[in-house]
Amino acid sequence: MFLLAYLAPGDPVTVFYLSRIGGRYSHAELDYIRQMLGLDQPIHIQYFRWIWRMIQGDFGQSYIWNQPVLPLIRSSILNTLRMMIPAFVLSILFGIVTGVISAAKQYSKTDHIVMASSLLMWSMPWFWSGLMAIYIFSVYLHLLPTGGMYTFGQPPTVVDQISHLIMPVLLYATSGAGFITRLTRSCMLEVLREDYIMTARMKGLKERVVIYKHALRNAILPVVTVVSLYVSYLVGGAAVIEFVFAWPGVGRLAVLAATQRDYPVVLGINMVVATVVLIALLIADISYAYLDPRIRY
Amino acid sequence: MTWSENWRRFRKNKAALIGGLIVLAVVITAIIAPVISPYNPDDVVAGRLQPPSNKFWFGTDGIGRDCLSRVVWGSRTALMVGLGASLISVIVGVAFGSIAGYYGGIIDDAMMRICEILLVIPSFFLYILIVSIFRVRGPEYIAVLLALTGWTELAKIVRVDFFSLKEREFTKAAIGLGASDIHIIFRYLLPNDLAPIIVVATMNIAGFIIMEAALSFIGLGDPTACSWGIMLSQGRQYIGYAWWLATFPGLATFITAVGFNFLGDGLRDSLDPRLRGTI
Repeated sequence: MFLLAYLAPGDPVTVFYLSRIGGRYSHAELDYIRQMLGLDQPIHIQYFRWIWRMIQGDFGQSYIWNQPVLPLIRSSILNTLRMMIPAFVLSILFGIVTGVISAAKQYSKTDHIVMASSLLMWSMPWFWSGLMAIYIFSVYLHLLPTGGMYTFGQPPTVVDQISHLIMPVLLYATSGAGFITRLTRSCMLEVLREDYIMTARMKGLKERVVIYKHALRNAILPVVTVVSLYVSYLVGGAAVIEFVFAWPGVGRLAVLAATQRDYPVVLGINMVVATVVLIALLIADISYAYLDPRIRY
Repeated sequence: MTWSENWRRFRKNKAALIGGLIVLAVVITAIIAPVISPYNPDDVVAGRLQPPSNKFWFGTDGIGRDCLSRVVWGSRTALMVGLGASLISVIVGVAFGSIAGYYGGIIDDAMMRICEILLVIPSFFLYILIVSIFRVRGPEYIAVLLALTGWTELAKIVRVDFFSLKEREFTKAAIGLGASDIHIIFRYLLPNDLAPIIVVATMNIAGFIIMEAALSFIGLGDPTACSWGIMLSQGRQYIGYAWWLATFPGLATFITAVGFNFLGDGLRDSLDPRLRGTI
């Protein structure tokens, strides 16, 4: 895993190299800018300097916003988390509940409906459903704001913030819920075939107790594993949602920076997001110990 | 297991059949796009932002091009990206998985670490980085990018299946007869692992099509290309007064993705009953 930290900076070499191929400035101006940014140094020196500074928490200056990269990223990551965490919790709760119901009644009508609708949710281009939601609820019904985090020129109230959160959170949650439903169902089905479930049933326990107490506990572990592996994918999904709803999060920052060739920001974001994902994986690893007493560190 | 038996099981599954029909319809649309699209997709044929009417079923876009024609032609781009990316990811993933699974040991360890690194890097941000550095924006480049980060799942599946297939009698017999590694992999192991590969590849197509639309949508695609994502991103600018711009290409993306996902789901049920009901 730590290899990742060494792998990702492999890119700035190319980045800096390509950014030398000029823009609209004269040669003298370009040379001056290069000197200022330290781009006139040989590649390997730039590279090690970049790594060295990054270790110290200095990700360099943004070319466009003309301020250090790290504070930019920090504030936008907090905004992202503010949207992602409620959405993530919602989609996990919803996904696990529907998945369990569907598995408990395998091949029933409910099961077929849940499976089909979860596949529909999975196939939904979530940025498009975002646009449609904006059109219906904001443009047409004037119920919810089109985007942003709070209304400009008004004191930020809780209601105002929540009304800005509703659409992105719900849409983001549905895009993940379909996947988690299917995952939970297949894990549950696997567990329900185990001998100890048979034992529990033969003990005369209620079906509800068997499902929720005996089966779900054991099925949840593989669900956590797979979901944690897809965290990096989910972060990407969040980026698109942010873009649709003009949410000032890290994904939108990355897109803006990328379209304007602000490499230090794009690189910084890649590093920070990769680190956050690693931390998420670590948390998932640790939570195994709680979910499965057999695992001890 | 014979193919007619597979087909019989596949036919019984309604969702799968619907998925297959949708996919067939999209493929036919893409093939006969020049015949059925009423106008040239790049021609300005009317005033800008005309609402849907008898003449322009899906309305016209920001510079007066016919949206229906653009949606029809966009199916070519979507299929090219989806099928192309899926094909590349199958080649890379299967090659990677077979080598890791067949040889095992230290080779397997090293290769799996590479897989894990790819899985951890937020691929979406990686695309943004690569697209911004190399300025490659065309759908064909996006397809390659998607494939090169999207093959890990396949590699893992093939690897795990190879572990068990390697221990089976027919493989042992082949090894005993002195067959070469390449011969064993292609003749004995891969044919027995075809079902999951086909299923995952089919469902990946849907994912790749959506990802291409997403990348084009946020402004990382080629703005001159005729792609659903590009249309959607233009639709976003006019969402306040031209609902049709975003609605139809998005609907097309959604329906195509549903088609491939249902097809993949049904294929899994019919090709490999052991996998029935798994994700």
